[in-house]
This record gives sequence, C-alpha cells and structure tokens, in this order.
Amino acid sequence: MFAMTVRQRGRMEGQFELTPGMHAIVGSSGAGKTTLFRLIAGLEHHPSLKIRWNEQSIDRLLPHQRPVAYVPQRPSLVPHRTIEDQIRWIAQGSLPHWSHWIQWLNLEELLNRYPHQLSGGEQQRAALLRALVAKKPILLLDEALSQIDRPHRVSLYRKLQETLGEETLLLFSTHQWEEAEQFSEYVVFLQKGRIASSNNITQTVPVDSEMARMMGYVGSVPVPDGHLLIHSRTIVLGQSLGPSLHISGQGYQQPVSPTLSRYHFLSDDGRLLLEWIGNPSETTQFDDISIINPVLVPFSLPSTQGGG
Amino acid sequence: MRRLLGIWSGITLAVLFVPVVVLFLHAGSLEQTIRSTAGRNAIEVTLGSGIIALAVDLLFGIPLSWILARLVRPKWRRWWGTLLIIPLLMPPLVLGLVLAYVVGPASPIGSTISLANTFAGLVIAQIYESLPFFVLTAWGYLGAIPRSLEEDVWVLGKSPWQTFWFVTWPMARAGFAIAAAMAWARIVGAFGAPVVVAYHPSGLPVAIWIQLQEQGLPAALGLALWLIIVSLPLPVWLNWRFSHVRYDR
Repeated sequence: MFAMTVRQRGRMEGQFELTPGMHAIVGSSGAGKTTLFRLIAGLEHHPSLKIRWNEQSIDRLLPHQRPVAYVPQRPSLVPHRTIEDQIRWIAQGSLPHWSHWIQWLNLEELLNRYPHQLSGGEQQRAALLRALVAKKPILLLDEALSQIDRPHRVSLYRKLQETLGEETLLLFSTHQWEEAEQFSEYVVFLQKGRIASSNNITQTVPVDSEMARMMGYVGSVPVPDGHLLIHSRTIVLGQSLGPSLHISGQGYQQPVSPTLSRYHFLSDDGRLLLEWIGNPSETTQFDDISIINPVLVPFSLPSTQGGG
Repeated sequence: MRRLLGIWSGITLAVLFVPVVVLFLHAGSLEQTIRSTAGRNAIEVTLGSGIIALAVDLLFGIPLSWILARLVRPKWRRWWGTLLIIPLLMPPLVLGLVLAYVVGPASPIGSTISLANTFAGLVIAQIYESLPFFVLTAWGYLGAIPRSLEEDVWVLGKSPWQTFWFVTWPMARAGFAIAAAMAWARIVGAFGAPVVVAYHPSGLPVAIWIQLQEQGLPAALGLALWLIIVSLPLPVWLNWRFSHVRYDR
C-alpha cells in the first residue's frame, strides 16, 4: 500500500493512496506530474510531505535509499558510458538474467553504443530497461515512453502489466486519457498542483470542466440537479435505446478521412450544441441524438470552442 | 562570401603560424643549445620549477574550482567569477613587482627570509601567473556537467559516492586535464613575474631574454625552440585527448 500527503501551497497539495499494480498520473502539461514524481523519488522535498510504503515511512530517506526507481521525461542516460556498461552498473552484475527484456526491447544491437548514437525512442527503451534492472518495488515513468510510437508503446504497457510482480507499484504519467483508460486501474488526476482525484478508473467523475475536456467530454446538458456530461463515445445517432438521455435537434456528418468523421449537432433554433469527432456512419443528417451513460456533475461544459 | 571568409581565415592562420614555422626552420640550433651548460641549466630549471608549480596549482586549484562550480550558490557565482578575473588579468610585470616586494628583502616577510632570486621565488611567480587561469578553466568545465546526470542515477539506487566515480569523475577529469594543460603553458612561458622576482635561477624565458641581450637574436632561437618543446606537447596532447568530449543534451 502506497500513501502520500503533501501540503505545499501553490506547488503541490493533496493526498492519495494506491495498492500495488499499474496506475496512471493524469494531468495537462504543467499540472505537476513531474513535481509529484520528484517528490516521491526524493529529488524534491517539503516538510509537509509524508509517504508511506508498506507500513514504512520513506519520505525522509535519500533518493538512493528509497525503494523507488524513476525514469524522467528528458534523456537521462549517462553520456560517456555505453548502454551495456551503465545498465550493468545499475543491475550490479547479472545482465544475462535480463536477456529476455533486452531482446524484447530490441536493444541487443545497441548495447555497446553510446547514448548519443541512439534515437530518441531507443534511448527511452534503454532508460526503461535500466530502471527495470534496479529492481525497485516502485517504478515511476514520467512520460518515459513518449518517443515510442503508439503500437509499440501499447504492447510495452501490456508487457509491463504482465511481467511486473504482485508487489510492484508502477506509476506512469500521461496527458492522454485513453492511455490511462487502457492500462491503469486507478488514476491520480493532477490539476495546477492539486491532486484532484484518485479513483478507480471505472468510477472517475471529472471535478471541473478542464478535467472533463481532458477525459473527452464534449458538452453538457442542463438538468434540474446539475449538468449531464456528454462524451463523444457515448453519443448514438437517431432514436434512443432504452434508458438514455434524448436530445432533439439537427445533426450533420462531415467525413474527414475514410475512418473519421466530424459531427455537428445544432439545437432546434440553430445554435451549435455539440461538435465531436467519431466513427463514420451511414447517416449524413440526423434529427436527434441519444446519450448513453451520461454523468451528472455540478458544473457545465460549454461545447463551442472557438468556432465550428 | 564564403570564399572571402575562407581566404581571410587562411591568412589569419598563416600569420599565426609564422613564428612556429620560423622556429622550426632553426631546428639545427637545438643540439647546440643542449650542449651548452647555460642551455641545459635553463631547461632543467624550467622543468623542475614547472612541475612543482603545476603540482601546487592542482593542489589548490582542484578544490577551489570544485567548490566554485558545485557549492557556491548561483547568485554568488558572478561575484566570484569577477573577483578571479582580477589576478588573472593582472599584468605579469605588475604581479612580479608586487611579489618581489612581498617576498623580497624590502618587506617584513622577506627581511627574515628573502625568496627573491631563488628557485622558490621562481616557483611562486609561476604559480601566481597560472593558478587563476587553472581555476577559471576548470570551473568552466565543471560547471558544464549537468547535475541532472547525477540525479538520474541516484533515483536508481546509486549512492552519491558511487555516482561520483562512475558518472562525474570521468567528466571532471577532462576539465581538470585541460585546465592543467593551459596552466602548464602559462607556467613554462611565464616571463613578466619571474624576470622581476627571480632573475636567477633562470628558467627558459628569462634565459632567452638574457641571450637576446648578450648575444643577439639568432643565438636566442635555440633556447626558444626548447621552450616550445617543453611547453607545448603536454597541452596539445591533453587538448586532443579531452576536448572532443562534449556533454550537450
């Protein structure tokens, strides 16, 4: 069990708890994801910081004493040592033990090269392996796979999910909600230094419009108790299917590519209510839309963002 | 435009190398010089005093440049940098005069034991001419080592001490080597301060000066060539070995 509390006004405030497993830290750029990681890793500190891991307080330990391995966003390999040398140094010897990972990450050819001879994606893979061989129970990936193309990144997350031990905690940061959705159990949402929520991802409800936008909600509809959020993926064109919200108006589809279409939905009096990107469909014009699984929130989410 | 730049740079280079070429055209006098006792003495004095001066430079310069690069708050660095420029830019003659005053018979220290015109005086003069140079050069190189490099392996379980040997020292070593190269050239070529503080025993620069006055220009060329031989190979080699390493990220 991992538990963290911090109260540094203007920088980082909040608390959260996580069980071992793979979880996401989500927030837009500048929200504080890196600061959070640095606090956990011990590179930054604040008197109010408290971190507990398995009944042990680790917030007063120096970085190298903590049960944490951290892979930062920027290139972090030692420039004047070969990949193999530095991974071996961190692993303290037994590299053959890791040959499976070396092969899987396609690093065999690159082992006796220097970091500057590797591409960005290769450097990130090497940095990831270097962190894995440190064998720490807590692994922090700070957008550490950003230069690896999406299909490879997806299979990498899957492999990490499969191979990480039961007592390991892996936190990865992302500003793409879909990645969090796909690979994490819990999400810690950061917004301007505030830890806004830590929920099981199936139950995450946005706390404000910024978070809602990040999660992919495209608009909201006022109801007596508040507002119902509309997500682009929960919109169904045409008549309703069972228990769902039904909105009348006029909608149009505009194909953008063979696999993507832009949709506009106007109210009966011509105001643009919703705009979203979605799967292509047969109907180019439609009268009503239905929303399945609308989420009730206290704030509204205006849909028009700078024109149609 | 590019051709013009090329030609202009070519002329500059040619002009810069004229002294070197001229000297080597007189390579014959090398042998002559080493056969004369005056020549041999000058070479020995320069080498002996130079090695001691360089050792002292390292002894004091390495800790000082390390502290300046790593432990002084960024706010204060500008002050320290400016302060160190002063002894660096002090004209060697002025330096020599002041040193001669301090260690010579005229001063309270010097009246008990005068170091003017002694081997020790020569070493001191060489140290004063080279130490600020060493510190500023080393400081520059050390300052260019990104601290994040160390953080990145601390967070993988490596202690600061382990990190120093694996990550920092190889990079710092390059900086110290280049600083030592520069300092050596300054030490061996020191003239302004030694000519005032320690006319005897004469290192090569002062010996050249004496030869020049007593026997004229061509006679001094042999000694000059030896000065080049003594002073340049180490810096040139150290630069070759270490200056291609760059740690831009």
